[in-house]
Amino acid sequence: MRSNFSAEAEWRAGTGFLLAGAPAAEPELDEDVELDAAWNVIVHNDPVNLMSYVVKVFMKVLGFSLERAEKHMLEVHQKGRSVVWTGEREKAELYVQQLHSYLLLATLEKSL
Amino acid sequence: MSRKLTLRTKDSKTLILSGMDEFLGGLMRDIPLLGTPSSQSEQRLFPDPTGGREAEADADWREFVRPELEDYFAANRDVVEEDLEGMRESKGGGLEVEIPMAHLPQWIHALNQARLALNTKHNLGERELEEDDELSGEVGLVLFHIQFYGLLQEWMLSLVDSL
Repeated sequence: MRSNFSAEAEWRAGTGFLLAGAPAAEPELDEDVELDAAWNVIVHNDPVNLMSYVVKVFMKVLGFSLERAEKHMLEVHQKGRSVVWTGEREKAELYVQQLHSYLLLATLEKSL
Repeated sequence: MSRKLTLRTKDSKTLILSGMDEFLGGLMRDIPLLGTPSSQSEQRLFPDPTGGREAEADADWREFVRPELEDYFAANRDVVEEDLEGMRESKGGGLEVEIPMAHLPQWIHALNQARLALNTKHNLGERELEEDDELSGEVGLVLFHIQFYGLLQEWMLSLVDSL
């Protein structure tokens, strides 16, 4: 947690909230994704979930680095879906459950 | 809005959100209520894991996993509701509420539930959500509502290292 924080915003019709002082997220390195199994965990695009939120969820649930989390978030945003994990079904279901707990639209599909 | 909405640290364990008029205070009080699953929002809040491709797996999910998710979502909303009970008039005018740093993950989740439920109810697409010029009428009000919660969520996300 940050010890000091201050941010302000002002609503302007036609513009939205004008922001100041929103700090950037800090990077974290942690990658451990199985690649050789039969089920894909897919995350689908959702117009409401914030990009910064999706990145943090990927880092938390899937152990992605910031860079990898951003890459998958952008893939979801631009292509409509991203395969975020591939492996055995039981673990895939666990990941889908965790992603649902963060309200991401996730499904599992058999890998071709 | 003449008053500035401000989120700042009171001390190492507490934030203060201030500068809210009665309207924004009302939107804040709506957070737990909006996130409560309804017939309109439940399909979005509790999607099937195979998207209908495996009926049995989806049915098992609804029976065994969904109750856990419902409890988890409700627990997040309860924390927010309790914090909101402390909303009060600030010395400088307007309303303020104290938010313990330890409650930020629950706030982030509850705000997300409310934003998703609002969007499902009003069936807004990506184009409407990114539109800044059309702020009149009901759609404008809903967009303001979703963006207000989104702003709070962004601020809170910037304060947590992990969800």
